[in-house]
Amino acid sequence: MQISVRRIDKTAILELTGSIDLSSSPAVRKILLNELRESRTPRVILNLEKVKYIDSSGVASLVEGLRASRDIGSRLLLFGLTPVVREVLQISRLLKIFEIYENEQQALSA
Amino acid sequence: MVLRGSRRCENHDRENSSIEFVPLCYHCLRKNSRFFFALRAQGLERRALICTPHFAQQAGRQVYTLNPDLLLKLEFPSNPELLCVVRGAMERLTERMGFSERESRSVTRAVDEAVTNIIRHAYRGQPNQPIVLTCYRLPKAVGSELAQGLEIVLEDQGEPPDPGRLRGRSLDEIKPGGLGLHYIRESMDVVEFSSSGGTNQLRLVRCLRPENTIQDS
Repeated sequence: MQISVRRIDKTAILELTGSIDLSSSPAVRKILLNELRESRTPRVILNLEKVKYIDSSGVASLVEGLRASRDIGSRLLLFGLTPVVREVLQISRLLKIFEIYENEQQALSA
Repeated sequence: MVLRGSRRCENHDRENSSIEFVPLCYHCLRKNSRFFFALRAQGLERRALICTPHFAQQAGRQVYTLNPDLLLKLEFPSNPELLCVVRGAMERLTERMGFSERESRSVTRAVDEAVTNIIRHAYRGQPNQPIVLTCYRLPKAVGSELAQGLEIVLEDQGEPPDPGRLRGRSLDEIKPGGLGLHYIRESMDVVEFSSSGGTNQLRLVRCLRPENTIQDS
């Protein structure tokens, strides 16, 4: 799993590449929560275009990030969901809970 | 066809004391699918110890036995880094069996979550603890409408789970955690847990839908 961070104004775009499972979700969680709780970034966007797999611990990290963003009044947005990620969020009944966009441009404009 | 009493392979003229029911060696049995399925229909497949003379020749006449329904057996330590290996094996196996791409992802996800639960809860994150994953082909009984399928058995020597945790949680509440069991139940037709003699066993079954067929190897 690789995680890279780009910043555009007051937005952080986290690009995740690879599989998010028990071995990598702690790193995803740490970076996401750090961005929200420590840096207090007003808008965090997750690019999931290159995520090949996500398990329940990965979904839990996203949910934790969502809760943290609500706690501090910032926004967490997702884009580029692969069929694998979409399927997992769907069976978790979380598709309507997250702000989801097709691409980066749409997420930045939202 | 005689199923009992013979310990001699009809084609290879070999006798082996490890054969209980099958009068053919494994090599011939694989070529004789009619006999193979007749054996299964009588519920003998799990008791039949089958000789493998071709392997025996190569291994200094040591005779191995093989369960004809065994598809895959993996023994690996409780290391999260190995989850991707397990997923890779399950994806290939389910594709080979004729599961659709979506079904294959679903079964793979269930196994991944089950192994994750073993690592996190049974072994409390301790690495290098033993996990055994065994996959069997479930045959279609003669005259039955039941589909063929895949049986997956996961075994560990960790702490047995709290029965309350096995019920899972409601998805109405938006909170992290507790989703793994939901994924497993959503993916599999049968989910059974048992614990005996220090070994926990999780049995998962996924039937092939009627439109799919198992490729006869």
